[in-house]
Parts: sequence; C-alpha cells; structure tokens
Amino acid sequence: MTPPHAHDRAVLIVEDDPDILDVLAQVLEDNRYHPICAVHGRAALEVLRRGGPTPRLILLDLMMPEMSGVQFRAIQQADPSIAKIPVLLITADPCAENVARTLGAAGWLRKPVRLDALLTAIEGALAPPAPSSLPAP
Amino acid sequence: VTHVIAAHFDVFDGADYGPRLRFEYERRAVSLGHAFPWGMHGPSSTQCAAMPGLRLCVAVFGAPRDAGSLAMAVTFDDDGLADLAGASAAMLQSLSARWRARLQAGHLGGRDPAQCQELVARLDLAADVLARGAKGATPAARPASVRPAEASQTPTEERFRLLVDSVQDYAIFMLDAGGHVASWNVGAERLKGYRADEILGRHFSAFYSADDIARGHPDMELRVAMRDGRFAEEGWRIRKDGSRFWASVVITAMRDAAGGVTGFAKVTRDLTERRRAEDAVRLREEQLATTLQSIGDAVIATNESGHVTMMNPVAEALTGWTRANALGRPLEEVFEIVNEDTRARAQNPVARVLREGVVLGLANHTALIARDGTARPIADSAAPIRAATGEITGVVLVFRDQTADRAAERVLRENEQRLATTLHSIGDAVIATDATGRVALMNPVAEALTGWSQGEALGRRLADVFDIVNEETRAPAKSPVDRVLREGTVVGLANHTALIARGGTARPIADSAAPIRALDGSVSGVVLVFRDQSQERAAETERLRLAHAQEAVRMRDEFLSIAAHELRTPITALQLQLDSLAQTARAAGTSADSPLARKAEKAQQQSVRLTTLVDTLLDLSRITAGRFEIAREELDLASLVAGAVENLRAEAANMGCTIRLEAPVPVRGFWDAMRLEQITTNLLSNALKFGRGHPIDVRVGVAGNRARLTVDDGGIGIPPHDLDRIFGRFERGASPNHYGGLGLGLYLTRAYVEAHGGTIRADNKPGQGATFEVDLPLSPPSTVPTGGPAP
Repeated sequence: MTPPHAHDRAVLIVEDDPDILDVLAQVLEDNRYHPICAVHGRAALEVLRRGGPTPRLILLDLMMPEMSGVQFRAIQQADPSIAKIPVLLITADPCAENVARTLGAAGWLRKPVRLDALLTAIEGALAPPAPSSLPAP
Repeated sequence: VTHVIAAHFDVFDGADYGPRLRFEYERRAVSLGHAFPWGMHGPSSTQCAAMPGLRLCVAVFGAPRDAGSLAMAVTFDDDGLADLAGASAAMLQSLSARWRARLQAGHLGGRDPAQCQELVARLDLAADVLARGAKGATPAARPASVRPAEASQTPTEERFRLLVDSVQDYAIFMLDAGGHVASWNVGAERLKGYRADEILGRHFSAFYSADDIARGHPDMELRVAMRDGRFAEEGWRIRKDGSRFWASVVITAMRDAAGGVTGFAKVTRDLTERRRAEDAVRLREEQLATTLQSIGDAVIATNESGHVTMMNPVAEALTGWTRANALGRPLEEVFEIVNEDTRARAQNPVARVLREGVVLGLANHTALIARDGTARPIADSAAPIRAATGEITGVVLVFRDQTADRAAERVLRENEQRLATTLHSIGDAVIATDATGRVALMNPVAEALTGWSQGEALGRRLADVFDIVNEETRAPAKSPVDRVLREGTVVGLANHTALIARGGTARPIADSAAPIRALDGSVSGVVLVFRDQSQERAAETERLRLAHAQEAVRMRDEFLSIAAHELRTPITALQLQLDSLAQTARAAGTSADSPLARKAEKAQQQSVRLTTLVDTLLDLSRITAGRFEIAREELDLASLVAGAVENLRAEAANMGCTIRLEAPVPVRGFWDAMRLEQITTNLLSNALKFGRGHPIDVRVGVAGNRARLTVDDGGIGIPPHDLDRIFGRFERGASPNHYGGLGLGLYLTRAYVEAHGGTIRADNKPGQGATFEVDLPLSPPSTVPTGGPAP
C-alpha cells in the first residue's frame, strides 16, 4: 500500500492521546502521507535516532507525559541530525501562536483541527521555501 | 573662829542636793554681807579668793566614775554659818546612810560595790569634818596652817590630812618656799604619774613643758602667788610619762604669823576631758550651725517668749525677712500664715507649742505670706526646745515650700482624672480587682456586659460578677484572675469563652488579665479587659460563608476549565474523523449531494457547534478567573467583518435575513483576529436570532480615534428594563423557551471587547429592533509590538 516514494512523505506524529493519534495517522495515510507514530517526546526521539526513514515533518502535541513538546523541540533543535525537520504544532493551548513563534515552529493548528486546515498546513510546511505566513487554524 | 561648811553634792542616785544647799549658802552669806555669785557647782577658786575670809580648803570627794559627784568644804571665818555646816553634815550623814542601806540591799544600779563603799567612807569623813566645824571646833587647819602630815597633828588635822590624801580627782600638794614639792596626795599621784617618793623634794617645774620653763613660767607663778596671795590659771602641764594634760591650777601662798611666805599650796585639776568636751561641744555647735545654714528646709527658732532667735537662709528666702531684720521680732510678724483657700489668718503654732509643749504639724492648706506679699503653700511642724532640765526655752519651726509638691499633686490628680475618664470612655470592658481578687473598679462597658453596676459589684468576688463559661459546652470556665494573682503573669482567656450576664444573656468574649503591680513589684490586683465578640463572631461567620461561596465559584470555574479542556480531545478526534468521512464520501460519490456526503456534512456542522460551545465554556472560565488574554496583530477590521458576514450569509438567507454591509474603507488596528471574528459572529448571530425575517445592517467605520462596528436588526428589540443586564452572564432579553443558547453570547462579546480596551452598548432603534455598537481603540492602550503576545 505504501507508495514507492513513501519516505518522501513520512510524517512523524507525536501525540499522547491514542484516539487523536489514530485518526491523525489515518487521515494522513488517506492523503498519501506515511505516518510514523510516537506517544510522547521521548518516544519520538527514539524513532528519529533509530535510523529509519527520516520524516519530512513532525506534527507535535505540546502537553504530553514523559517528555513534553517543548522539551522535545529543545532537544531536537540541539541535535544537528534532526534539527532541520520542520515542526507543526497541534495543540489545545489558546496561546498556540506565541508558543509556535517561541519554538520556531513551521506552523500551528489549534485543536480541534479541521482536516482541510491540517492538510493545507502540512503542504505549506513541506513546500519549499518555508511559508512566511502561518496558516490560520 | 573658822567654820567649815559643805558646799555641794551631786550624787549618784539622781537627787540633787546642790541647789538647796546653795540656796542656803546664798541666803546666809548674803545676810552676812557676802556675795555668793557662784553657780551650781559651788564657788570657783577665783571666787573664793575674791571673798575675804573665805578659804578653799577641801576640794572633791566622790566616785570618779560619776561626773559631778562633788562635794566641797569651805572654811568660813564667820560664826553665822556654823549651823549651816551642821545642816550640811546632817545631809551628808543621811546620804551616807542611804548608800549604806543600798550596799546592804545590793541595789547599786550596776555600780561597783567597792567604789560605793569608798563613797560611803568619804561621805562619813566629810560629815564628820562639817559636824566639828558646826560645833565651833576647829575642824580643819586654815589653809595657811595646812602642812604636810606631822605626828603632832590634832585628831582633826589628822582627819583632814587623810581627807586630802584620799582625794583622787585633785592633785593637792605643798611646795616649800623654794618651789620644791613638800607633800603629795593620791590625786597628785594619779594626775601626774609620780609616786610620793619620786617627787618629794623635786622642784615643781618638773610639771611644766620645756618652753614654759625656758620662759620662767613656774617662777612667775610663785611670784604672783607671793605678791597676790594666790595664782590661778588653766594651761598645759606635763605628766611623768611626758604626756600633756590641760590643767586648772591654783597656787596659794602660805604665810606664817609674821606674814612671811612659808610655802605654797597647789591644787591642780585635770580639765583635759572638760576641754575635750568643750571642743566637742563647740564643734557640734559649729556643725549644727552649718547644718542649719545648709539644710533644705526653712528653720526658725524662737526663745521662750516666741521671739525669733535664729533663722537659716531658706527661712530667709521663704519669709522674705533677712536674719538681721527678723531677730528679736515676734514670730507672727516674720512667719505670717493664712489658710490657703480662705486666706483667713491661720493660728500660729508657736504660742501653743510654748503653752502645751507639744509637737505640732501645720494644718493642711497653709500658705506663708512672705514679706513682699507672695503666698506659698507650705508644710511645717513646730517643736519645743527643752533645756536639760526639761523646761521649754523656745520653739523650733521647720517648714518647706510646697509649691512644687502642690503642682505634682495637681498633675497626679489630673492624671487620675484622665485615667478615670479614659476608663470611662474606653470601648472595652475593664474590671480591676484588689489583691484578693475582689472587684475594686469597673467601667460602664463592663457594667453593661456583666449586668452589674459598679456600686453593686464593689467588694464582691470576681467570679460573681464575671461569670464565664465555655461557649460550646457551657461548663464553667476558669477565671484568669486567680492565675494572674498566683503567677503574676498576663493571662489570655481561652478561646470560645462566653460571659453570662446577670440577666442570663451569654455573649462570646475575648479578654486578657494582667497583674497590677505595686511600686515594690508585688501584685496588688488584677486588671481584666474584655470585649463583646458577638459582632466579630457574626462577621467571622459571614466571612467564612463568603469564602465558601467564593471557593465554590472558583471550583466551578476550574471544573469548567478542565471540562472544556478535556472535551476538546475527543472533539478533535471526532471532528477529524468526520472530516475524513466527508472526504471519503466525496471521493467515493460523484456528487456532493449524495446522501452520505450530506449526512457527513450535517455531522461536521454539529461538531463545529460542539467546538464552539466548548470554546465558549473555556473562554467563560478564563474570563471569570481573570486569566483571559488576547493576541494582537495588525489587521483590517473592514475585511475581517466582511469575511464573517460572508460566512453567515447562507445561514442568514435560511432565516430570511439579508445582511447589508457598509464598510467603505479599511479600518486598520492592532486586535485579536479570532476574538474580533467572534465579536462579529456573536452580534450577527444575535441579530439573526432575534430579528428573523428582517434585514440586518452592518457598518464598519471610524469615530474619532476609535474603530466602530454597528449591527442593527429589525427584530423584537430589547425590553427597556433589560438594557442594563443583557451583557450579564446567563442573561437573555427573551425567554429561553423560544430562543435557546447558554445566554453567554453577549456576555462573552462584551468581555472580548473590553479585553481590547473597547466598549459595547445596546439600544433600541426608534422604529423597530435593536442596535449594537462596538468601539475599539485603533491603537492598543499601551505600546505593544506588532503581533506580540497580549499582556
């Protein structure tokens, strides 16, 4: 089922809620992305350092056990091998925009997320060059 | 005929025979033409020498320990005094008998029996001499014939010699014509330190200092005695051991019948003690004078007639009289006193002291009028001055300026008054007890709280008046006063203490009890301060109730916040799932109108509504918790409103409304886009809800330095009494049965507007429907960077 160029469309989803993680993975798959799932920041780091296909994009939740999105992002940015992977925040935080600026995220989506907005944001984040304006939630 | 008479007795037992005898002598002597100007102690040798026919022949006998136990025998060439000598002899005999009886009975008053024995012997001897003289016999040789003891002496002469020999207090000895010592008695040995065998035959200059000898003083004395018959002086003499003594010396020339000097009788008395006593008296007098001068009190002394004899500088200052002017004046003149209040002349104490011999204190409120008229309050006392004999010889008046004391008293009284006033007006109840815990004082508040008046409570045990119980159990509470009295520490009442008033009313009180300490530090009572806590208790209850309510509100808001947050997660999953479903349906079907696509779309709409509701709840909880924030960015209100209008156009059309937008120019400012969209959407939704079927007019413009958004509807309008409250929480301008919703739309709208520093108001249009007007500052209230986080 995975298209031959799957690794070009690999997206790492970091989300602690299994229902959201599940549906996100499903819609990405429906839209020909290759979702890789991690339930928190630490798990995401393990995935990234395991040596599998490098994701083109990381969908990052903020509030998670073990390692929060903010902690993950700090480690990611400090690691040159993975620092360049763009990050799209998906959060319930009402101040998502500010957090996104602080973390140097490629964009942000506020839960609950609409599918159209999600796909647009992913495309925007993947399209070179990086978009100068953030997509509206 | 030469008579020997006794002169003076001053004996142990206190009886004074002297004055009586003296009186007799004087009477007889004067009747015989002799003057007897001597004092109580008999004629001095000088006085004797001045009286023709009078010869001193015997000096002293008596116990040396008792000063003044002196008798003197005098020879007198006058028959008229013979019977007086007899009387004197009788007196000495009775005295001798009395002492003999006391010796037998052993009633000697602590005196040495041997000395008493000796006294008796001497009294007998003297009485015998006198008795012989009284009988006309020759009792003793005339002084001229007094010679050293010889075998040929008559019995009387022998006795007289014995008498002289035994005299201890006078050195009585003879000098030959050349000044060599020819006889020596016990007194001489005692006084000068030489035994008879050491001194007999030596020149009498041995008794003089080298200086006296060098200036020929001893020889001068003998020359004077030869010339005048007698030489007398007081001066320093030298004892055998070289020590000095102050001596009274009388040297009498003894002549033979032809008038030639055969020798000298020398009588010497040691006056060192007297001189020392005189010096001491002088010193005491000087000290007394200095004391009087420097004493802080005023002192005035008077004589027995009440005339001023002395006053010290303080008395001068207070009376205004100088000592020189005051001396000799009647005291009343110098010491004028009046009643301090009435100014009536006060009784002068001196007269009464002189009359009654009592010590008097001045009455209170006495003022002294100084010579210049100044009145000063004084305190004083007057006491009699008594001579050794007990007779009153004057009055001494001691007084003191009381002006300062009076001022201090006034201050004290004022302080007391102030304290009393303070106690009376203090808001707390105060009860003071004495050292036994009985009520000594209570103020009006204490009277009100206990139900006891001070008059009734005074002297009662505190527990009667201050009846306290545990507020909850109603068990009697321990009185703090007992503990204060026992331990001397400040004691606070236990919590939950209630005071039972006399009428049975119980009031919660707070109190403390503290010891009242006397100046010496001992606990002289307890002061109890307490306060009705009823109001505080009620206020506390109210405060707790309010705190509970606030806590309930806070918990509700917190719950709302958590609930909204928790709801977002499943909604997120749900909405994505529905979106995915709609996508799948669109992909599967050929038409957007396929039943599956339509159903998916309906589900999507409901999930959006659900999201909106959850957002509303979340905003609400943030607003009520004061944690609501906006994110400003530069944007154009006109285009934003246009977008919102477009989003609702379809819905409006469904409800029979047309939305007319009038937004001719861009209106740029720094606002939160999402919130402005919510404001616009809320107002439009409101207009649609209440103005179904009527057109809606939306205008965006600028009014002064503010952006203005106006939404007019043609609906039912707002009842005038609701205009003030439609922006409140959970408020509706209409019945919820007809118009659903949480009733939060306008409340949140106002909150969003106000978060921007703007205002919103609602009004009814003149014709029909309502109008809402939102004003927003074009620039933020403070300088906020473009797109930066809201404060």
